Amino acid sequence: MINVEQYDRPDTLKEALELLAKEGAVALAGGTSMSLAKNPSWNSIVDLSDIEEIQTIEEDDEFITIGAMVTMTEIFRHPGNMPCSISAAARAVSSTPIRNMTTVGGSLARSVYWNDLPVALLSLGASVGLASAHERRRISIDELYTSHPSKVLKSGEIITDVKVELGKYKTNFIKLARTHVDYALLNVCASLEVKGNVIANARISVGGAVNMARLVIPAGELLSGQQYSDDLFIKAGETAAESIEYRSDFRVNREYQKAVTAKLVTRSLRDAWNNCECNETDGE
Amino acid sequence: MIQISLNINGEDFDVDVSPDLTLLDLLRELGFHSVKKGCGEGDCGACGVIMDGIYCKSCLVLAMQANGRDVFTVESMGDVNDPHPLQQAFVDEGAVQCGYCIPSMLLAADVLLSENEDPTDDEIKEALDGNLCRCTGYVKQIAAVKKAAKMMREEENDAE
Ligand SMILES: Cc1cc2nc3c(=O)[nH]c(=O)nc-3n(C[C@H](O)[C@H](O)[C@H](O)COP(=O)(O)OP(=O)(O)OC[C@H]3O[C@@H](n4cnc5c(N)ncnc54)[C@H](O)[C@@H]3O)c2cc1C
Ligand code: FES
Ligand code: FES
Repeated sequence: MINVEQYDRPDTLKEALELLAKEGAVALAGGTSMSLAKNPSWNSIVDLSDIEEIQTIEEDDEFITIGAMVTMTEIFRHPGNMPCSISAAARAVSSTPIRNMTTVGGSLARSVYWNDLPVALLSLGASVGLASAHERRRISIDELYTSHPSKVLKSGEIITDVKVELGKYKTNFIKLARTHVDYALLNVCASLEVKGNVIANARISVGGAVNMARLVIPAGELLSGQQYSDDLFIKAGETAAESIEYRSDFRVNREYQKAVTAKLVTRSLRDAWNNCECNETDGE
Repeated sequence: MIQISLNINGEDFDVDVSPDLTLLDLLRELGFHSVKKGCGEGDCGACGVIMDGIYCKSCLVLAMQANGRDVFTVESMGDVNDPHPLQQAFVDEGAVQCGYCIPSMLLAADVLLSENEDPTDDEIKEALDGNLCRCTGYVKQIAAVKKAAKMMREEENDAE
């Protein structure tokens, strides 16, 4: 931050993107990690917090679109049809002042092991709007996570929004932490596309115990196309526990990480199947 | 140096700030010593302020981000001669021991009561979850916020 000579807070996305196209310019969102960052190559800060077009939550019959500058507090207070695992993940973030500051775009761009929201967005198969001075594009969240999101973004490109299909999945999010405000030991989100008694598609994601949010593909594949059975949910939990590359965590050992992953993936699947409140249909 | 203008507790300030200066350090340099530097990295909550109506941690805000913003510290709430109901209730309930965490806790509670005039225990706990207190067990602070809410509802009824 020490070599920064310019600070701008433009009102429009167009102006922000033009500023970000310059060498040494960097975006600032909620500032919860930027304020502590020390990168000597930055010479200009582009604060996104006055750009109204990326601060809104919009819904139609099919999709909910959440602007990149929407905060965690605004997500879980949203009076409309927010998918329940997105609300739960936003509410699980640290404490009130941190939730008031942390944004959707900042959480995805940062993507450290403890970022809660990306776990839910991955499980729900969101798409991500991106913009630079030269181009606007939309990619799937799976594509954003082919590497660390900051590496997938091109130079001068920012996240503008995330878009999630409404009512597609029965979904559930669980955060396990030592205290209510601590970083996650494990995050799990299970989302099930249900047709009658059949799981047409399952997307299970984890965070906390891994370097950044990721889908657990083998566990999802085990369930997809199968008739519902509780045994299958137990097997999916065991499969997930075996297929994850765990990060080392001074708070817990590997055995604990494995055991708790198996249990919580199964629990999240059960809760998605039985208790999801944002998708009451039985997927007829 | 970056030139900024901000309003603190109703008063305008024009200052030149270094790009890595935090709002916390700026406030303390300007004499608002109620804003405490506990950890300087977002953990303790002793630096809490209200910026444009939002309760946030001033150690995680760069001073330049406060350009054009309205900032409130506990100095804006009241003093010994004319305490805010929250301040009075904290005293009445014995919710203060060393006092280090109290300025920001009062601000967090103030935002809560401006949005919710009759909060439940759980709502109070959530609103104060960013404020670590090493002395008390939080129990009396929760009682104090409830008491202040009641005092403020009664004041409002009397005014009507
Ligand atoms: C004490 C503490 C505890 C925390 N606990 C948790 C927790 O439990 N769970 C959790 O999920 N988070 C937690 N966080 C927040 C998390 O660590 C990050 O700080 C946060 O996700 C960053 O979001 P931000 O909006 O503040 O972004 P900023 O700090 O402003 O920016 C972060 C990065 O993202 C980039 N960026 C921002 N917006 C965009 C955009 N739209 N497009 C492209 N790039 C962008 C910035 O250039 C920067 O590189 C905690 C933070 C603190 C300080
Ligand atoms: S000084 Fe500890 S949270 Fe800001
Ligand atoms: S009263 Fe001492 S830290 Fe809270």
